[in-house]
Amino acid sequence: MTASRITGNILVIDDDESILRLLTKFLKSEGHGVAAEINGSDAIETFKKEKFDLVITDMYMPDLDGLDIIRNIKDINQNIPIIVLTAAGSITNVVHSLKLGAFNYMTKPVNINEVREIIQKAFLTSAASLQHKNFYTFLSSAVSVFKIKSAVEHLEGISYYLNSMLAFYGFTSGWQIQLALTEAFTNAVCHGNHSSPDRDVTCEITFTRDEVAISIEDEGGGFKVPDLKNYKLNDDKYAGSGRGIFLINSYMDSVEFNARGNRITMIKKRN
Amino acid sequence: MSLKTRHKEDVLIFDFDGEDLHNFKDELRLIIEEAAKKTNKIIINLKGLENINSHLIGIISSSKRMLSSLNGDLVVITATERILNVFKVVHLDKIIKITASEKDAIDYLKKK
Repeated sequence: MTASRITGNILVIDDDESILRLLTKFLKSEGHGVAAEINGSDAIETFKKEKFDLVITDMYMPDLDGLDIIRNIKDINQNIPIIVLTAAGSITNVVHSLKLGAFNYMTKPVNINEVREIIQKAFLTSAASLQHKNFYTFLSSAVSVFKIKSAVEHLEGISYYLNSMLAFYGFTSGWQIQLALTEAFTNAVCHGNHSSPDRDVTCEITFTRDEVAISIEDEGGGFKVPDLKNYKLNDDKYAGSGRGIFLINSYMDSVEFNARGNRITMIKKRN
Repeated sequence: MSLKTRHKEDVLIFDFDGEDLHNFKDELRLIIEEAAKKTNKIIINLKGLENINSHLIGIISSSKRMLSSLNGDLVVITATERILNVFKVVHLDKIIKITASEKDAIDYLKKK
């Protein structure tokens, strides 16, 4: 007796028409819905318009390459599994694609049995994560407080933590929140604490069902609190100052400072 | 993050790669200023970059100003919607040419 297969809608992207035809024919014969695209830009537009359960993309293409495709698709849907097709031996890009969130990879020439097996694994993994997708609705609050030495190198650690938690709690606007954290943390280290190793930066991250609140406090004397309601980029289009706080204010739903001006609290609502 | 430079005809191309932008700090501004003494056509290739921050935006913006004063120009290559989005938010897309491919960037600079 053969085990029943999971089927879904699959977007296949490859600039090689013969591979596109082969995969489309095979996937349809397996019962999947298939959309085939020969270039990356069109594929992203198709992905925005239709609902897919899986993406298979070639790595090397003339306009957008596989890494561009992964970045753009993951910004639209962080949870979609992506399988990368690549030439044998191109290990660097395979590692890069997995770091960007690709589910797995297959080397060319494609082996039909391998295609079937990896797709089934991807669908099973997706089904398992979907079961826990709404777990956050039970959350009352989760508070994490980090006291971090004043060095921008520590940004990677706190970013990694935040990114993992955003994914766990099902936030889809992850990169905007990460950008706000980057700007606020760098500002606290470089301008608030003047990169002094004797001073700390306190990061408090609070998740609730409806939002994430990030508070960053340095041990400096504080700044004059900007009037965010009337805050605009300098009229001089080349001027360099103020972009960080402008970006934070643009991407977060609420931004507040304490009276001393050494603590910023940024809130992003769940989409 | 890594930064490599290469020439294509009279255009100098900076290829950025990676994600830890903060490692570069102000040396990047100096590298670009030094390069602008030899050529006034520069491409900033961000295709390998995961993210962007206000510091790099400031460097790109001031490099554009410097090259404009030398009758040159600067083109940014990026294909990532998140980076394009940031460029739009700070209105940099209105003053800097942005293309999705190196070929388009070079074609644009050739006409200058």
